[in-house]
Amino acid sequence: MWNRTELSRRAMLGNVGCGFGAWMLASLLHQQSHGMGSKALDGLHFPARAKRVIFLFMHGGPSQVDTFDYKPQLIKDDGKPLPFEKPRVQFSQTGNLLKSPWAFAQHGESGAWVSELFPEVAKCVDDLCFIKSMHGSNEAHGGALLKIHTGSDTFVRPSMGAWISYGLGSENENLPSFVTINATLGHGGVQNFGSAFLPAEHQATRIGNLASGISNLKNPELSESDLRTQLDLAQSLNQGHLKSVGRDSHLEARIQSMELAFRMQAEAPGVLDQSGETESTLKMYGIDAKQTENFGKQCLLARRLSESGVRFVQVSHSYWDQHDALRAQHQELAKQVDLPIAGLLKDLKARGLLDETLVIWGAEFGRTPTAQGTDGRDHNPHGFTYWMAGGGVKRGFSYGETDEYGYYARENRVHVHDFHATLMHLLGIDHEKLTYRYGGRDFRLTDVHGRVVHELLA
Amino acid sequence: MILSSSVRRVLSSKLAIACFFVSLVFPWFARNTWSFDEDQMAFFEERIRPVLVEHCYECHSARSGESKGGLLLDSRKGVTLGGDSGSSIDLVNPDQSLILGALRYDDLKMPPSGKLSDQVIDDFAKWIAMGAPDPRDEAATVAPSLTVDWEGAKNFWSFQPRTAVNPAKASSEWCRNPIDSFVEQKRNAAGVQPVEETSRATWLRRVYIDLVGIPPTPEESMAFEQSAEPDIYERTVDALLASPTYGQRWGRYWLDLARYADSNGADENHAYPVAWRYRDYVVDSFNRDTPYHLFVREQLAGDLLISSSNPQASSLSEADQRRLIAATGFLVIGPKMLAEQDKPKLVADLVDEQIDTMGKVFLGLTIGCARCHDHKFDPILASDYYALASVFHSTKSMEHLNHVAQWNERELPDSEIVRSMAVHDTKIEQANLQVQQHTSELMQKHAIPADSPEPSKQLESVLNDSEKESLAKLKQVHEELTKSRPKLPKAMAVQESEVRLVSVHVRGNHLQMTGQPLAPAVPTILRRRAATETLQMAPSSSGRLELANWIADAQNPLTARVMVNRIWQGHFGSGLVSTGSNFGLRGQLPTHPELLDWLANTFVENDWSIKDLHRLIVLSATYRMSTGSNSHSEQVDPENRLLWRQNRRRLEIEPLRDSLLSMVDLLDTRVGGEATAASAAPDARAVWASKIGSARRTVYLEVNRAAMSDFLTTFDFVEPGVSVDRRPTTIVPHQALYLMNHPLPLEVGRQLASQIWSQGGNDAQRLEQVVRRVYGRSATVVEKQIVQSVASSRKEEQDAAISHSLESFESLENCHSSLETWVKICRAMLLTNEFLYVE
Repeated sequence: MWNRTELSRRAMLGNVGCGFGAWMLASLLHQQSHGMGSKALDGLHFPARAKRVIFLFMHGGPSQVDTFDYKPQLIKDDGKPLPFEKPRVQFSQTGNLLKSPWAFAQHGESGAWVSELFPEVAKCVDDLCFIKSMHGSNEAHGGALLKIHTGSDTFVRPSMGAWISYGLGSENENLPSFVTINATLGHGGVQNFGSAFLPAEHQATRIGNLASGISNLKNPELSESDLRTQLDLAQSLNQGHLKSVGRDSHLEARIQSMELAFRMQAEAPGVLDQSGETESTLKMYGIDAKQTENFGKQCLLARRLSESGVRFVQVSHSYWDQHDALRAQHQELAKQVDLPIAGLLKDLKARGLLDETLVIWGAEFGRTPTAQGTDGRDHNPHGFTYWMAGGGVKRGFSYGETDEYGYYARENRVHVHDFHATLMHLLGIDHEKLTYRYGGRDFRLTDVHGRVVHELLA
Repeated sequence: MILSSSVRRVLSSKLAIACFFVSLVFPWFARNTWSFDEDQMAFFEERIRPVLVEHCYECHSARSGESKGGLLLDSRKGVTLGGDSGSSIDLVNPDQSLILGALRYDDLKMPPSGKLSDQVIDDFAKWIAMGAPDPRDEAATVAPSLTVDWEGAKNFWSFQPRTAVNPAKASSEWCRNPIDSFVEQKRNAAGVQPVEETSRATWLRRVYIDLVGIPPTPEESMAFEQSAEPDIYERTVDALLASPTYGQRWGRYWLDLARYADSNGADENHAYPVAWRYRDYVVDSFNRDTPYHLFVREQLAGDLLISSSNPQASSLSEADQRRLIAATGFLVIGPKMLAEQDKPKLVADLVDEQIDTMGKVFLGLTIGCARCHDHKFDPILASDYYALASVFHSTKSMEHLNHVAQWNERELPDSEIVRSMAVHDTKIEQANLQVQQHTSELMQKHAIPADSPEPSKQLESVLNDSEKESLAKLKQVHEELTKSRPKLPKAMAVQESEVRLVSVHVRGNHLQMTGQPLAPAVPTILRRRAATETLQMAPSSSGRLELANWIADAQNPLTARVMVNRIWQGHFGSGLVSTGSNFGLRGQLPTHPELLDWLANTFVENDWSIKDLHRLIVLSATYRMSTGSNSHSEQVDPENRLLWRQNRRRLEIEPLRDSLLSMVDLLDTRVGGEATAASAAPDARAVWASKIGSARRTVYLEVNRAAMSDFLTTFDFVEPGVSVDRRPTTIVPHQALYLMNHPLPLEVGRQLASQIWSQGGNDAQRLEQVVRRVYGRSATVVEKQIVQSVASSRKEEQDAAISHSLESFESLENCHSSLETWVKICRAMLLTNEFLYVE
């Protein structure tokens, strides 16, 4: 039979062309997964503090001042006009200040303030590293989603998961390196997890919902060995074709992707199947209760995928866009995710995985401390909260501040580009060096921006 | 111009633009600027500067670090340059100056803290009237947004009229038509050699997939390969172009551009129950080869072509009228925020979507970028945008703007239905009479006076069962007739509404307008006759027809170029301009500008016939090249910009799925009608077929913006919310999973095997048939060997066989493998690259 390794390497080279350095990274790490030892780390720009990422994306934009960014002044000045100017561009008009309907309290040894919305996550604050001074540049969902996922709200660019897949390759050659669960199809849709001009293999594999899993994963008729025979037959025909037409990176990439499909078919069902999990684990993720079942299953799947070596797993939860009905909806949405998120953190920790897994919680933007109507808040890209946990970040730590009402990031501001730079750094990648030449220019995730926020690193 | 060219370069283009206009209208004016006497300067120092410092600098000065709205007022330059809304002073019509409007609180309302006194405003008016004397020489420090070199942009290739080019004399026998001369010339200049001509079989599959999206049948491909007729290529192309399947293929290209879908998507994903009439209009237009200039007019203003003011309108049949109304669905089928509660914003967004799509599709210009500010790269002003916006604000695209708004649908004329409605109404009336009659008979019988209270209730209580039944029957007849009353068909379509001219929206904000309402006008850069060219129109009309006519005009430098480039792209995978919907400054330059212009000229001369253009392209030697390689060309031009070979292309999902179905004679090629769910059962041609879902051509499958079918998106179907000129081609494992495990390819593989198996013969003959059906050619030695390795083994050894060496197998002619073996072979072939790619 044809030599798969040689072919895939050629295909890689053909595809990656100008990004040779990055290919080296991928290749070296790939070898590491086969037990080639620590030498692989030489391929990284820095020692990696995290091997993989789980991004819990709260689509719609939860309100920072109702969750993790405690603002006593906002409570005092409830109903008063904002004493400084609102941003030049706003998504909608807002009125006066609106205090949080939820009470805050301090938790853990670190004494982090968390609102009543997240009682379970509150128990984990000593493992969290808050960034309370995030800011972006787009006040609409679509643009802001694209910004946080791809670094650009203007042009089609690869998503961060695709960049990481491109830079690091897969830890498990039978699984894709980038998986997105319950992805949002609006607001930029597939661009948010696409590979743009990077080789297509780096785009996310989509898992719609758990019932359907990955579509067409199972053959209704054939056994695995029958399938292998059929695929070998097809691949020998492909080899014959390739010989007659000459080198073509697309044809080679497709040959490779059929092999990946076959391996996914063998391995993915096991990873997707949660039936082997213990009752206490299911309970930890809230899978035993209706309200938390759905997101709980997704978080558990994220752990299983991550555990199996998927570099970047994103879990999306919708839809935190409370222009009105803030009290009821934020309450409901928080209930759906609070326990599962805490479950994920505890589970990772108990399995010793949290040290090498970076968990990130955040959204496309936050919300205004000023009211929209009487029970709503508008989009706010000018100051919002992210938190990270695990893989190389400080624990029980908080960085950056918004103003006294939580509107604008004021101290130690962290732009979306800075966040990307830091994320790459944690994975051992210099964000300025991981580039890809396209249309005559070297592109990178952070464009021409980005500062690694060293203060966050453990 | 008063400014030397070097100064002009230093200054922003915005000033250049301002001066450009000024010099056009009042060329004398510039001489008088900026030379003032002491009194005038004193006026500025005493009356103007203090006000600026006190009330304006906080938000509009370099020192404060603020330049709100892009405006700086701390220097003469800043004042002249203005901000996002344009220059703050208008020296030609001082009273129209933006700054005065703002001070007077007409629109901008500045300063925001409160209106200044009339005295101050009066001072500003006087100051501007005297020419705005201003000694503040320091440069504005904030770079204005626009960096377009306006003068240079006028010379940009795509804004220039097409040049009359003649093809060079064919220098070699390689050339088959003028296209080839252009291509050869360019290639020779670079010293690049073309690859050889492709085989007949490959050309045939290529041209079938390209023109109709379905592979040739075994009979067709055999006949073509063996034909000795000299014009067999030409005749094949003519036959394909005459087939209704052609419109189904090329209509889909257009539907990508027109962001066609069967539902709204966006916030409220309502079904579009009659969007398909626009889809059918498009397919039909390609099939009837509607001249492209008409195709443009119809989609933008088909309704107005019917109106009495059009001299040709009287000769239009009803079918034509229906077509023309449905054509304007182009403007309505985009996604809309139906539940947007800020209704003026909903409308502004809708208009924006229309302008953006129209600009990209017909002109290859990203006009939509000028909504919030002058275009950052192209010479398109915000005022150009809003002059076009006036056209669409005066067009009715929405039925109403209630809480959840409703798009516009129009009834389509059909006198036959109107007649049958009349007949039907008579029947309804008769049925009603019978009910009345019978009721009064029964009332009489039961002696219920007609004027008694609630007579029907009384009657009900006294009727016996058979009486009740007879009355109910009559009522039912009436009810059913009422329900089945024929209705006029509807289509998503626009119509004229009240004329509503809009002015520039500051930063695209519909709540903040500035300047005069703008009459419909064409973008400044494309004005031919006078700098002030507007769309000449009746005062009560939207200007939509005039806009359509202007786009469709043979003199428009963009329209024909953009379209011929799209057709070229459809045949080569990439256009001569690789950015098909962006012919602006940020688009790619044409690789073969002369060829592009020659094609466009020829297109226009041939009455904009798209079919003629296809014919020209696919019969060229350029199209006929193989996808092969040679190392020198590969080295010099790896991207094949010089066209030294054909490009290998992956099948899009439509020809992929349609090929699968047609390979086993199941494809339903009927034209038109409502969208079909992918899962819908096909017309039961075979029991096995029920497993595969709808057998209709993929173009007729439902496009639900919020719930796209998995297999469509897996194979790079368009994002149907935006105009897409070129689909990406990704390679992901899910595509392989689909082909390996989805019921459609699985069943097709099985059926293909059983169809071939049932015909008898030996394995060699069967292989020949399978290869013919799947690849459209004869089997190769390698394939024979591979199949032999599977076929000749004992059953239990079959699976292992292919990994062994290929030597010493008995001849394939003597093999008669089982059906299951052939199922395996057929399914494997459907997984191969050769099936999935067009050479």
